[in-house]
Amino acid sequence: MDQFKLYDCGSNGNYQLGVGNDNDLDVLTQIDFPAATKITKIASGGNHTFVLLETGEIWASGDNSYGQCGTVPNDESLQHFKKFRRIGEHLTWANMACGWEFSVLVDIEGRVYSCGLGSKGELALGKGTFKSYAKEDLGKHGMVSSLRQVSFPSEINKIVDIKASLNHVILRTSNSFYGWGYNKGHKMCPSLGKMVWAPSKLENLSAGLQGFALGREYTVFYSNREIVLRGKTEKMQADGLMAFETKEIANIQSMWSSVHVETKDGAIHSLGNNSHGQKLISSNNVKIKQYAVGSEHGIILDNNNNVYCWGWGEHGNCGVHSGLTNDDEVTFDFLNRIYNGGETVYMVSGGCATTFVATIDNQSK
Amino acid sequence: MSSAIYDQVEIEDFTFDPDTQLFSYPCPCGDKFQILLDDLQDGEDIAVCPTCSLMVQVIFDQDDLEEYSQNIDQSANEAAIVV
Repeated sequence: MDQFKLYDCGSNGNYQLGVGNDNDLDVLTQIDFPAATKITKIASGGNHTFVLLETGEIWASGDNSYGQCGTVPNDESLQHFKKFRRIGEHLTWANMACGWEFSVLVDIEGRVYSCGLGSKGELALGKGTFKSYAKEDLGKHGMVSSLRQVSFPSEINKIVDIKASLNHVILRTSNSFYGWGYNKGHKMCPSLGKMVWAPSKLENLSAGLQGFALGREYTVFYSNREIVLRGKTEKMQADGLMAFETKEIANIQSMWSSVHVETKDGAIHSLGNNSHGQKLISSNNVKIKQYAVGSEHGIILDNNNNVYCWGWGEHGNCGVHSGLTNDDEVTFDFLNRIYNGGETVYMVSGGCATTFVATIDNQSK
Repeated sequence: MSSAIYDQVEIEDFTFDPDTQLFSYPCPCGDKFQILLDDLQDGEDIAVCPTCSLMVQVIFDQDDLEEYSQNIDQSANEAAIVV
């Protein structure tokens, strides 16, 4: 019988790797995680991790000081989830996204919930609402949900995707984009204020823009016809982001301060901040099956079931440094292989200096 | 060493804690870059992360700092009233 496994490495000061301790890991380590089905998505906040299963369950690990793991931290044991715990059990989940100290969840009925801390509108719970639970909740006993339902100004179409960066959230429906959180530099929309406290429709974005990627201070929207940039994107533009042949773009993903464009010929082109090797120099010898990015590092799964990392790897999130060209051991300005094992890798994901590798073990009985 | 600077961040994006006089801003490692108001007033502009090697340059004018020092005076007054 197939067995689904999850491995991770990297920054772990708040138990965000879910391995039961808070030591950083520079070798992929299997998580004791009862995933009976495939993982659909992994989302990472500053110090917390969410895993969504095909069955609609969400499991969370890491920092819960502000209730960002869906539970009121009314007891010291609930300040951190040392291992993955199932959250929001009363609902079946379709999607989710994590920001710095908050999370946003979407259930299969299309209802949106938020939890955690957001001082710039990240929770979408109305003007001035920083936290998703009341002071009184801290006096309660046992597991108390910190999830609060988000209201939309009017009925919305089917939710297709949701993503978050540090302090802004973008939700795509079948015909529109909505956003909330910090809008400095108009990184979501020029017609909205600096802090957006409720889901707001993002104007002047055509429904044809299917892809979107969030950086710390910007958002990139794209389709096979156009690229739309909002916020602080001078570095990416200087590196030629608007010069791409749009019909050649297969995928765009963003670290906090750099954009990574996959073109249909299978190459990744990196644009933006390169302080720590974030720009992938060459992926020529690697046939990319899937790639993912974290805060300042990237992960590639190739066609031969190898997993490689590049970028800033100070916390072990890019594995053990094997480069000879650089005496700076936190900069991985090359592809460092972190997995070539016998299980079939079906997903890679990155968080804040954290790396996740999901596998199917066809051998186990 | 400019190559060690990870990025630049404007002062208004930092969170200021009047009690500790500390400005903080998220670091990609999960911790927070920090710098004291005193240091900024002395002309320092590099905020460091306590748990990793990354640093950011704080973008500000000396004029920007006034509202934060007023903030401290105000909270000191409030504390005095409580006492």
